[in-house]
Amino acid sequence: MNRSRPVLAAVFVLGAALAGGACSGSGSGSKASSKTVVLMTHDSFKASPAVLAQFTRETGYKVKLLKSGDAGKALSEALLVKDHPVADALFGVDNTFLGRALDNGLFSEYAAKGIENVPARFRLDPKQRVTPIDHGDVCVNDDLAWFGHDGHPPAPESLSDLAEPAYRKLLVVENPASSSPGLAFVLATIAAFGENGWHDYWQQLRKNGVRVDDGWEQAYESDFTAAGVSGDRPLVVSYATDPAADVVFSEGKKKVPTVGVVPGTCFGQIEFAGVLEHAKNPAGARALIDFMLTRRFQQDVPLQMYVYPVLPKALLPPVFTKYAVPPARPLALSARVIGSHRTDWIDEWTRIVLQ
Amino acid sequence: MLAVERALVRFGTASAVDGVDLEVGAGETVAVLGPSGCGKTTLLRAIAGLQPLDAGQVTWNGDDLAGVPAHRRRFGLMFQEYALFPHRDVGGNVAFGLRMAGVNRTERDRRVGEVLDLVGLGALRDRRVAQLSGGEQQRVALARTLAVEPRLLMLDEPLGALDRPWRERLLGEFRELLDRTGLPAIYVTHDHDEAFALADRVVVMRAGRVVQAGPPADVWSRPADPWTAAFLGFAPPVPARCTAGGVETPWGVLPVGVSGDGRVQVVLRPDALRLDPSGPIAAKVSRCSFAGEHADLEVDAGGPAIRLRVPYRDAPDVGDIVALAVEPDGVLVYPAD
Amino acid sequence: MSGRAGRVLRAAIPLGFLGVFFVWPVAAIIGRSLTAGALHDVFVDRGLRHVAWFTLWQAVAATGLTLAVGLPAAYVVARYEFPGRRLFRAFVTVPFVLPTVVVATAFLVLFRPGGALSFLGWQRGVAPMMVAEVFFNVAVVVRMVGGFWSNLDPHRTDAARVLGASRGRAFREVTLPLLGPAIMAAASIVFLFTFTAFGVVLLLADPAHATLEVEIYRQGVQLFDLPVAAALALVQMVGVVALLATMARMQERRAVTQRLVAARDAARRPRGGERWVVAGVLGATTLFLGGPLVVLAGESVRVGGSWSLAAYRALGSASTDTLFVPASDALVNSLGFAALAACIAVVVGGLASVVIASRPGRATRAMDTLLMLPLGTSAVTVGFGFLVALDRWPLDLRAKTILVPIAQSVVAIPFVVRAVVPAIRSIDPRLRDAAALLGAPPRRVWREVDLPIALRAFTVGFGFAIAVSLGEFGATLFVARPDSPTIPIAISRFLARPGALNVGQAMAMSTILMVVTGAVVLAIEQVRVRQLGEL
Repeated sequence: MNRSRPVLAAVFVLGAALAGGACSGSGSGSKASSKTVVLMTHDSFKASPAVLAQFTRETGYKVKLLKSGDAGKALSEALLVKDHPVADALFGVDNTFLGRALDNGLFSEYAAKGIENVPARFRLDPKQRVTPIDHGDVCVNDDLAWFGHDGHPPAPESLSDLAEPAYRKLLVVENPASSSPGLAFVLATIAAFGENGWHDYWQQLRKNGVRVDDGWEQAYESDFTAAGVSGDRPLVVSYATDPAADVVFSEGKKKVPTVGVVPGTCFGQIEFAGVLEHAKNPAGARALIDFMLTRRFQQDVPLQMYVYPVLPKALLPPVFTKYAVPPARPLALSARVIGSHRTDWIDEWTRIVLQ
Repeated sequence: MLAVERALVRFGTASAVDGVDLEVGAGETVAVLGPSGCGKTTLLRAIAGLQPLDAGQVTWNGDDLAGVPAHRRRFGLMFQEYALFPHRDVGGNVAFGLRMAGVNRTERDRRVGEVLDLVGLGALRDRRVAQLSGGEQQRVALARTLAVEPRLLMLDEPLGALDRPWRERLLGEFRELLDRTGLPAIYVTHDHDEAFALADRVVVMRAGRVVQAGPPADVWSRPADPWTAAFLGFAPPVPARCTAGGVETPWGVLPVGVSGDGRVQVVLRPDALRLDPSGPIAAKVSRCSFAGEHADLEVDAGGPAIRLRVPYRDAPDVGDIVALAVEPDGVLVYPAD
Repeated sequence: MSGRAGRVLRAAIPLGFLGVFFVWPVAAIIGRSLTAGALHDVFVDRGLRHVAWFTLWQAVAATGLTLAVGLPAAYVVARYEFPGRRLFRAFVTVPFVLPTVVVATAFLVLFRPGGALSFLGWQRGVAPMMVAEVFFNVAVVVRMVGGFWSNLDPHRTDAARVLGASRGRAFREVTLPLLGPAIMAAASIVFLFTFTAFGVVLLLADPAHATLEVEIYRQGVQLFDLPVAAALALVQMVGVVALLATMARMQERRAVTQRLVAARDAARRPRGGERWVVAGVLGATTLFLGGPLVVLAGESVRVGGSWSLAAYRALGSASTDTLFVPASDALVNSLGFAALAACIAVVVGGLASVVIASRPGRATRAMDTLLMLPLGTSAVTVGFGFLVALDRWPLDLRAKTILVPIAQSVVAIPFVVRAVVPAIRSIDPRLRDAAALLGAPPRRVWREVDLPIALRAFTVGFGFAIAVSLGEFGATLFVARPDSPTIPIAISRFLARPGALNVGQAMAMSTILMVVTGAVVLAIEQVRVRQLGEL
């Protein structure tokens, strides 16, 4: 009499079954216990399963990762829920955002085991609320296969070169409002040209046809000539370790990188971890941070996240020692200065470059 | 049986049903007659329990039905335009009430077949209702109502949407059905022919009130007022004056027994005048139209045109002068406005 | 009808659900962050007025363009019978339910250097963003206006012709005024979607152009300037509420006129020159809507420049380090979440629809507006609101997987309501009376009359809810946990990773999602009730 009823009933049953399956399947893992440490971090965090397994073996704690978007979003989430945190520790605050985390009382103090082995230039918080874990540099990368070939100009050699007519319409950068490397590069120009000089520099860059993308993926993956099949910009704001990554990701096709680093364009980034205030499992969080400073973890960092360990004793993989040359003197600004000006600088930059 | 006392239904400030009294005895068919918007459908809904009363009461064998919801009253209502369930076939519509009553499947099937046979639709049991003609839908609605053996049958303009041949056929069937089942029934209509043909008693409603109630012959021969007379299709009232010999109208003095003198209104029932060579009123035929075995005449006797119906073979030609005799019983005298 | 208690309960469940999972979180985040200074900042100091202005004009422009593209297709679908008509109608709907990530990816592929449309030089900016917005919303115009149009009695136009009106005149004087409400309704929905556009703007517009929604994301998530984000969210909500209130009022009025319309299909085969018109419109629309989808599917079977199914094979392997789980798990997750979300949405939205449809008036209109509000509220506001509000027992759901289907159902409920309310409104109330007189108690009346008649609308709502949940990105982004990603989340993660295989996997997952949503839409098409005012 009514044909559509059994169909609908079937859909409901199927739906309920699927839903039940999905929830029971993923629900079992979400049970928190005192033997679990929840680490909140950004999407780019990676660690070898073997290394995490070793942590569990040594301490009895299991690590549960809570990846919460990019570094900015992860920090924002952590700050929003700081009175009732969903995690025990946070990894991934860098020096450009450190002031915000500390000013809001996100972390509790903890002197990690082995912190004394970390060079002082990485230990930015005297109260030890955060522990440095890795560092890297945001630099302008150039496409070595493009410059100096087919009548193209030679590669630029400084920040100032980028504003020269020879490099017109060759550079792509990221929006500092939405991208961590984008912000780092703006900070590099502020560090290089001073709080009064950087405006002019960006006006020149704008005249010179700089392209602004929202994120690193767009800039690197689709606009950069050396990476995207269809890229049209041989200069991109990216990381100093990209030459090494270029070789690794080619999966054997490249013996030497075709990506280089433009000198004098690098800004140092240090990534920190900390124990969250009100954490349910502070002991586990401390153990995890201790572990992140061990050589086992530190030596895993380069090939997982393409950054450098903070521990000088940690051995670097050959591809790093061969191709990824850390900049001699990266540009820098103090976390305090960054913290107090970040919003204004981004607004000013937006007005100069985008409007 | 059913008694409605001083029923009042208000919509906002307007009263749709305004102090209506109505009784339906065992086996009696009562026609509620009135123009659209007079409140007759609202009255039915109030009796059915679909519309709460603002005052007054509905009783069944003396029991107040105020606390009895519609689905427990066991009153059958056949809706205007039938309200058949579009998602069920003919059998499903008819079986609905039986399912609600918890009748088992075998008994249900038997009963559905029986009722469908009764209305002559036994063959259409599996048909979708959208595929039925108007007359068939009407019969399905009737079957659906009858299947549950209601203790009162209410029909709301049951023939309103049908073509003429269907109407006449179904009217006869209704009559037979009501006689056979002996169900008390309320038949709502705006068509006085239907009401007179079917009802034991006719209740005329106007603007929420009952203006007249009585056997069809009484209502027809003595409408309560000029409005009712006009609603029954009688000619409009003309002003008149009482005199010694009767009432003085634009057509002369008509011999009616009236008392007193003064201004009145006169309505001529269609049978008030007849062609009679010795009649006192002379009139000129201004129009003659064919109406089957009858002819409808319009004649001019000085004053407003007079209409009368004559056997077709007696019909005069347009322009003829005819003489009319007066049937005093057909001259209805009402007080002046 | 089933007494006051039942009515209160029916209203209480949806209001409670929306209250806990929408109003409270949004109020919490706005209430906690909003300051007078921030409002001042937004409009005076920070020069964010231009964001509001851009949001408005791009929405108006995109709505106009969508009408221009959608109306010819609506006309052809409504008035002409042609082979594959039903398929075409389903096909037009596919873009509407595709995830933004997928659509943006498709257009990026088309416009990028070397892409089929690279000659336009639209790699990123306002133009490609608009094209994508039109691409998304054409379905709204074709379905709403086309649906209404096909039920318009062509005899009215004939009457005008007989009275001496030319073809064009008859269209202007008769058809257009009758279509007016449907066009207005479709335009307001398109406006709503474009006004609150997020994904396409974020992915396709250049950084100089941001809608309110994108700016909320930037300010709230990336700059952590919550006061400014809250102020922007408030501005956006005020606009959306105003629009929704107008729409709810319009819809109630339309429900009355609906009965005047002959509910029969007036389509016929095209004759003579009409054949070219029909073919032209169908061809152009198919090319516009199908092109990007084909390119996307094509891209998924090309890895590193050569034809290969490697991307699809890689989806099944557990060794992907971009996700924590094999990509096939994301598909299972997505289907499970979507099914659960759709069940919640049908129950909650269904109850709400019953309440809204049964008694028109100010209270139910307010309820209608409230239920539509999730469509126009920024995912950032809702997502952050969840984090702030749902942090205490018994509702500390922040780390719970169940939050994903709940968040998706909040977004899906409006679609259920829009499908079901018109169906229930169109039920002849005398059917319920008839059932009661035949002995059906009130609850039984609902089960025997309303439910079976509205069943198809419920099914349509359920299907839309599934499709919407499958593609939901914004809210899911905030609540999905890494061990249980959905397909859109997985796609965005693949896109964010270097390497041809990752991009290939993103395309492959997009293609799978496209096929799944397409199948759902086609299934809806099979059971859909031809009625007005639905999406």
